[in-house]
Order: sequence, then C-alpha cells, then structure tokens
Amino acid sequence: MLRKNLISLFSVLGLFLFFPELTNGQSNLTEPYDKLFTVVTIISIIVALLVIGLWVFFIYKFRESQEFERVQLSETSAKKLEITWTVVAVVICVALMAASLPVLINSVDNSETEIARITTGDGTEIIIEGSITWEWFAWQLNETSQREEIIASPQPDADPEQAAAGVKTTIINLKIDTNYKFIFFASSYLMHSFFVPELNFKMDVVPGVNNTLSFVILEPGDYQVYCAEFCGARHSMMRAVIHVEA
Amino acid sequence: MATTTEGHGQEHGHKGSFWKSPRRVFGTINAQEIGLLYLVFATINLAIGGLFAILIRLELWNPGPDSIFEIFKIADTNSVASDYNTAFSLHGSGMIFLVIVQFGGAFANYLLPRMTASLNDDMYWPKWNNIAFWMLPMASFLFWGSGFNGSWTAYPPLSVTLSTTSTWILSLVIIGISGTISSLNYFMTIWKGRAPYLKWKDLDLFVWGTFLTSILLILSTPSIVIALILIVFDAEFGTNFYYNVDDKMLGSPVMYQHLFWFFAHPEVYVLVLPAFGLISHIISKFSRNKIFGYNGMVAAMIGLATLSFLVWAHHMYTTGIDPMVRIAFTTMTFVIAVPSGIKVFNWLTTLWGGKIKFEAPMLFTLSFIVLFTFGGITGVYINIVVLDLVLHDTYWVVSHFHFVVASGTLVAMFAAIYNWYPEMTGKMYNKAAAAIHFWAWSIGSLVAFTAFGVLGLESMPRRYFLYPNDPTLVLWHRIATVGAVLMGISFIAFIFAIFLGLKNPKLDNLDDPFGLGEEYGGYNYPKPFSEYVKEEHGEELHADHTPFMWAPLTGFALSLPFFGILAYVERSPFDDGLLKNLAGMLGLYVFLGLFLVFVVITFMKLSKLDIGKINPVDKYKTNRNYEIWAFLGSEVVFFGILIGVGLAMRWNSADGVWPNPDDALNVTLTAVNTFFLIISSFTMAKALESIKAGDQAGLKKFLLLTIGFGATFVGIQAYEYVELAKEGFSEHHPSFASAFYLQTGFHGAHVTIGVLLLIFVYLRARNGGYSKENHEYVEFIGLYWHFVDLVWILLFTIIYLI
Repeated sequence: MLRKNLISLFSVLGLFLFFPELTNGQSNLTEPYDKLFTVVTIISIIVALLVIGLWVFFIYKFRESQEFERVQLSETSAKKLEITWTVVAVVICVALMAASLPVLINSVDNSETEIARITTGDGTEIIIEGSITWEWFAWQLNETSQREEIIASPQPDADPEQAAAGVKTTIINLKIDTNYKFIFFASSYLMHSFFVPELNFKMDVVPGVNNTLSFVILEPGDYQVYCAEFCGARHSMMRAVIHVEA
Repeated sequence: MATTTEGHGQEHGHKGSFWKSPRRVFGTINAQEIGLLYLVFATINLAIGGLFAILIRLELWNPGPDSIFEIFKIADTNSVASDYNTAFSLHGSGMIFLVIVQFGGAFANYLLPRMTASLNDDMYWPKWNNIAFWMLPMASFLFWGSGFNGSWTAYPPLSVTLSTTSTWILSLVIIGISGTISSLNYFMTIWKGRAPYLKWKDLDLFVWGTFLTSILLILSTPSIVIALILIVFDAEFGTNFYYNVDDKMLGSPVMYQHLFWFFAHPEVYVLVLPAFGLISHIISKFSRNKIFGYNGMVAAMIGLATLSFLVWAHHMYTTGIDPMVRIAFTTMTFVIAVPSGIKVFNWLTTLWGGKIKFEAPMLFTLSFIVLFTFGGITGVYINIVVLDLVLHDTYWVVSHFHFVVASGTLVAMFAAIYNWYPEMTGKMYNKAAAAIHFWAWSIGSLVAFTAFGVLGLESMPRRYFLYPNDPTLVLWHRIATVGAVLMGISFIAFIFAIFLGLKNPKLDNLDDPFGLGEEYGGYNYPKPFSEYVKEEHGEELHADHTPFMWAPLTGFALSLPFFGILAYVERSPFDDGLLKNLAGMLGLYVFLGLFLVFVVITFMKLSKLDIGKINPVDKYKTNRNYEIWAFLGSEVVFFGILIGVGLAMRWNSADGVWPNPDDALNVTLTAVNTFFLIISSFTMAKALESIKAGDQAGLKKFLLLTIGFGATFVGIQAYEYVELAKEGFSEHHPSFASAFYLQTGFHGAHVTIGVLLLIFVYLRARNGGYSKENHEYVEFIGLYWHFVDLVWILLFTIIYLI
C-alpha cells in the first residue's frame, strides 16, 4: 500500500515537471516571468518533496505494527524545531517576495490606471472594445479624418466546428517591434478581460474604467486571445488573435 | 477529577429514536441532535452539488457544445451555455454555502457543548440554534430552484441584468442570517458559556477553530450581505451602485469586488479553520500522540483569522487597481502562507514517535495533509502578481481551490464523520465501503485537480463550456472528467458506508470502537458542568431538552418576507395589463401578511412564556451584556460598510454630480427627527433605571414613551421619503439617492425592528416578566437602542451636514 502511495505520488509530481513552459517568451514582458515561474516551481517542488518525504517516512516508521520503543521529542528540541520551520517558512516567503518584486516594480509607472510594462508609455493607441454582443473590436484614430475607426472586427472562427458553435475571432494586425498602447473600453454593461497567454497579458475591461496596457511585441506569430472574465452566455465564444508579421 | 471518554454520546435520551419522532426532528433544541440534522442537510446538498459537477465535466469531454444539459431543463433558456453557466454557478456557491459551512456547523453543534463543558450542556441559546437550522431547508429550495447563472462571484454589472439573480441572492441572505445566528451561538458558547474550570489552553483545537470561524463570520457576513443586496437594488429598484444606463453616473463594478472579496476571503478561512481543528483532533487520536505544539497551532490559527481580513484584493490583481496596492496585498498574502505551512509541519511532527492505526478517519486525515499542501503551493503562484496575470481566471485557480476545499476541507469532514460515526449511531460504519470511498476519492481528486492545474498552465480559461480543439486541452479535460467520475463513485461508496453500517450489530465497546487501547486511545471530554456543580454545590442541573415547536416554525416563518419580496420582484408570468402586477403584488401581500400574523402570534405567546421562571444556569454566567455586544459587533461592521459605500460613491463621483445636502434634503425636518430619537434614548435609559429599582410602572411608562418616539422617528422618515419621491429626488441625483436610501433605509429598518422589539418587551413587562433581579433583556434592548441612536447621529452628520 505504501509503495503504491509513493509511486502514484511521485509520478503525479513528475507530471508537474513535464508541463510546457508557461509561455514561449514572445514579448519583452515574458522573459522575467518565465524565470520567476521557474524559481517558484523549484521552491515548490522542494517543499512538496519535503512534505511528502517526511509524510511517507513517518507513516512507515511509526505505524502500529512496528513494535518499538516510543520516543518523544524533548521540550528543547520541540522548541528548536518550531522556531526553525517558522524561520524557514518566513525566509522562503521573503525570497519569493524578493524575486517577484523587481519584475512588478519595473512594470509600474506613475499614472493611476496605467500599467506600463515598458519604460515609455507612449505608443500607437488602439482602443480594444469588449462589446455587449460578446465580441472584440479594435479601433484606431484615423489621422486624416480625426475619427476613431474600426480596424478589426469579429469573424467566424477559423476552426469550422468552433465557428458552427458560434465562436467569433477578431484578428488584430500589429507590427513587430512597435510601441503600442491598448486602451480597454467596455461598450456597455458587460465586464470582460483581455487575455493573451503567450504574451502574458491580462487586463480587465471594466465598464466606466479605461485600463491600459503598453507593450512591444518582439516575435512574429499568431497569439490567441481569450475573454477571461465571465460575461454570460457567450463568454466561451469571444476570441481574438493578435497577428504579427515578420 | 473524573473524565468521560468519547462514546458517551448516547447519554441524552433515546438517541436511537430521534429520527423516528417527527416532533423531535423538528423541535429539538438539543445541539447534538441538531448537529445530526446539519449532517444530513449538508450531505444532501453535497449530492446535488456533486451532480452538477459531473454534468459540467461531461459537457467538457468534447471541445464543442454537447447539449448534456438538454436532459435536465435547468435554466429558463434552451441554450447550452445558459444551463452550463447555471451548473457551475450553483455547484460552486452550493458547495460553499450549503455544504462545507454546514458540515462545520454540524460538528460545532455535535461537539461544542461537550468540548466546552458548557454551562447548560448545550449551545448558549438552544432555541435559536434550532431556528438557525430550520431556516436553511427553505433557503436551499430557493437556492437550487433559482437556476442562477451568474457564477458564484456574481460580479455586476452582468449579475444585475440576469433574471435569476434576485432569487439566488434572497436565498443567500436567509443563509447568511442563519449563519450569523449560529456564529453568535458558537461564539458565546465557547467564550461565556464554558465551564469556569476550563481554560483556553485546555480547549480542543476544534473548539479554537470554531471560535475563530465564528468571529470571522460575524464580522464578514455583513459585507457580502450588503454587496449582494446592492445587486438586488440595482436590478429591481433602479439604483446605481454598480450599474446605471446613464453614462454620466456609472456605478462602480469594482466596488462590488471589494465588498465581495472582503467577505469571501475570510470565508475561505471559515471553511478551513474547523477542518484544521478536526484534523488536529483525529491525527492525534490515531497516532496515539498529543498534538505537537499546541500553542503554535493556536497562534497559527489566530494569525490566519486576523490576516484573513487583510488579503482580499489578491483576487483582484487584474482589475487595474493601483500597482502599489497590489504589492501590499501580495506581501500580506505571503505572510498568511506562513501559518498554514507551520500547521502542516506540526501535524507531521505529531506522527513522530506515534503508533499509527490506519482506520478510515486517519486515512482521510493523512491524505488531507498532502493534498492540502498541494493546494497551498498552487496558491503561491497566483499570489505573485506577474504570474497571476497569466494564471488568473484559468483552470490553475480552479485547481488551487479544489485542492484546498475538495481534497482538503471536505476530506476533513469525511474523516470526522467516520470518526464520530460509532458514537452517533452506536455501530461501526461499513469498512469495505469506506475503504473504496477513501481510495476512489483520493485518487480521483488528485487526478482531476492535477489535470485542472495542467489545463491552467495551458491557459484554459475558466467558466468555458467550449474550448479550442487542441489535443492537449482535450486530453487533460478528459483526464479531469475521469477523475471526477471516480469521485462520484466514491461518493456512492460513502453513502453505502453510512447506511450499510446502520445494519451492523451494536458495538460492545463504545468507549473505544477503533480499538486504540489505553495508550492515549481517546479524547477525554472535560468533566460536564452539571457533574461539577453537583460535586461542589450539591445542586442538580438538568438540561431541559423538551422539543420547542415554535422554533422550527420561526425558522420557516423568517423566510416568508423573502418569499414576499421574491414574488414582487420576479418577472410576472403574465405579459400585460392588470394581471402583470397582480401576481407579484398578491404574492407580496400574502407572504407579508402571513409573516405579520406569525409575528403577532409569536409576540403574544412568547411574552407570556416562562414568566418568573429563572434558568438555574443563569447564575453561573458572568457579565451577560456580552450577549448583545457580540451581536452589535456585526452591526458595527454592517453600518461601517454602508457608510463606507456612501463615502466611496461620493469620492468617486464626477465633479458636480454629488449635490449639496442642503439643496437636496430637508435638513431641518431631519434635525427635529434626530432630536426625537435622542430623547427616545433618554427615555430608554429611564426605563432601565426604573426596573433596576423595581419600579414596574416606571418601566412600562418609559417603554411606551420610547416606543412612541421611535415610531415618530420612523413616521417622519417615511414622510420624508414620500416628499423626496414627489420631488423626483432619485431622477435628479441618482447616485446620491442610491446612497441616501441605502443608509437611511437600513437604519430606518433597524429602528422599526427596535420598535417591534420594544413592543415585545413592553408586553412582557405587562405580564410581570421583569423584576429588580431579573431584567437582562431590558438592558439588552436598551443597548441595541442606544447603538441605533448613535449610528443615526453619525449618519445624520455624514449625509445631511457635511
């Protein structure tokens, strides 16, 4: 029974190691994220192995069929143990905090709702609209007419089965190595969230609030966008793709 | 000092015949029996919630829409999406509010009186205990029947627009009130209802866990009640707390998230702290070892409870809140990770030098330790803001909370059910079925929730009923479904373990059903207080466990006003004309009418009940004023949040939107009204003074005066409301009006309830219910009245004067 326990537990833990990386590192925002993820994972695995190891060991050693002299921990060693693991836990937390802080601070600038992920917040402005019809639209200021114009609107999804189910995808064409600033706008009462996993973007689209996201994309590709805030009937079906040419 | 070991649960009356007597099932005021009622209630809701889970997983077997839900017509539309949304909304909120919280309540009821050697050998308020339970079945019908499809977090503005929201919220308000009543009961039982010879350091860790849980619930429930009621107001009465059609005065959806998570984070510790206590109890019992580091465990639980109020915004990292605020919450969340980790190490060390016996309770306890740790680890990732930006609202979060709740807290409840099963039934559960339950649950949940984690890393978003046709996603969804089906089989094995066990022969050795032997094989309940009193004072204290039928009736009746409101706000089945409003209005009047009749009969009956009868336990209680102070604690939070909402709306409104109070309101009239309320406090104080001197006539006179002034206040406020409506107040100043009616309305409701309570006290005084020696309730109502008065002075200043 114990051996089965061990095997099953270790194999599951092993699965964690075979997961694909969190991202493929596509924008200037992802490298530090990947490193941080790795650091957290290493610490987590160590902690998990420690807990599981002790657990298995104690269950095995102190099961009742083992006839042995029962030893108790002395009071001093008990105190030492408690202090030690409290300190260790605090140290781990401080370490994680220290590891994650620089990345977060570098992404902070001074304005209230803006989160500039790069040092300059000025980029070509594009308005990303999450609509009441569960669709993404992208708008840009037309220099000549000085009016906002739609530059990307929803089409049936590329996959025919998904399209048949009603999935809509908005293809947003962006240029590589260019500064952009997305301004998020909810056109009515639905809240959405613009989520691009491969670029480590997620920003809520809140009615009445204009969150922004400034970035540069460094590699060409098609980056899937999901809606990541529950918005009702067609939440699963509102998609987009950020298309970047070489 | 003699101690009783576990196994003497059968002492109180004919335990076997409890289920056979409907009178006792409904009217019991015995906490141990009420605990059994909670167990059955929670198990039934677990089955329903689990069924929804299986439906969800079946739907996700294929990436496209599967129409699983056509089989069950759940919501009011045909769309698969809507039914799926109902399934996960009810699954999530049902598991939390109707299963886990109620399992915690079950064991609190079953164990607290004996673990605290309580003065009356029961909960502090046995009759309210019954009322709190019998409110729940009605609420659960409303809850499941609502077909709510807005997700358990019910974020506005979406939830404001759904037709299923109001029913769901009203059911939750009932559940919240029941929870507050129970929490006050547990709190007072442990703090003031405990035997004087039982010190804090002697208490079982489950008692500590429940004590801290009750404080968390008392202080956090007001936040969610307000958050949800504001949704109902926005949906039904056109206020604009979260959502307004007029762009200029948009309510703040993020304000809801703050209010919601301020409750919901402490709520998850409400779920887990009793479980921690149960795990500590069981692991020490089955390893035949004292729990390691009792003081550290208590400190860790106190730390968790305190810190739980300081981390709520870690659920909101992607909403666009200030980055510095996010850093602050990340820090606090790291701090709160430390005590949980400490507890895991303490449990492991308890095994050291032990002599472990592997029975079902211990198996579940051992799996808890590992799987809860996995859950905790997944939580660390999402606390880090930069990682959360990718993991938030994906299956990673789903993995995290399923590990900690379904492989954690719920498993602790299973362990406890098996541990106390012999004591509750006199028999042993079916061990073969229990073994299947354990293995299927452990493997099934590990597989399913690990699959969730993988899906999260693959960026599979939450709350999706269809997903891209990617082989990795399909594979891991299917693995998760297999795990979930295994859990379903496990649940069936659980039911068999319970019911087949009832067919087993009665146990000979109820003192030690698991054969743990002398070597620290059992938990010793402290000496019952009645035994101590007999020894010290020669007095015989008998707990009165006569079923009190008015209690379940009150439980049912308390849901009547909510049914009335529901009838009014629900979309009428009739399309047009007179009938359109008639059904709703009729329903409102009928239900309210029934409720009023009930209140009147209750007043008349209870004002005569037990006149002059002294409860023999009362003389052992110290400083009974804490009974009302505990309740007022939740009221402080309640009004604090209401005032906070008003101020937040004011500060966030655009320039010129918030009017000068002088222009919009009749400040003079309200000033006069305030004066009446202040005088009523004075007359209330005189009433108390009178009865303290034994002056019955004075008591009655001053009570009547207080009632008069209180009623005048309410009357003038009603007049004020009518005048404001005539002026078109809410059309001219929507935001200001929303905040105004919210604060003054709830306050007015408190005054009205105060007046009703005063009328009750007056009726009882007329029947000679109070004397110079015995007048606590006059003092309590006085304290409540002064509190309401003070709140008004604060509100008047903030709303009318500045």
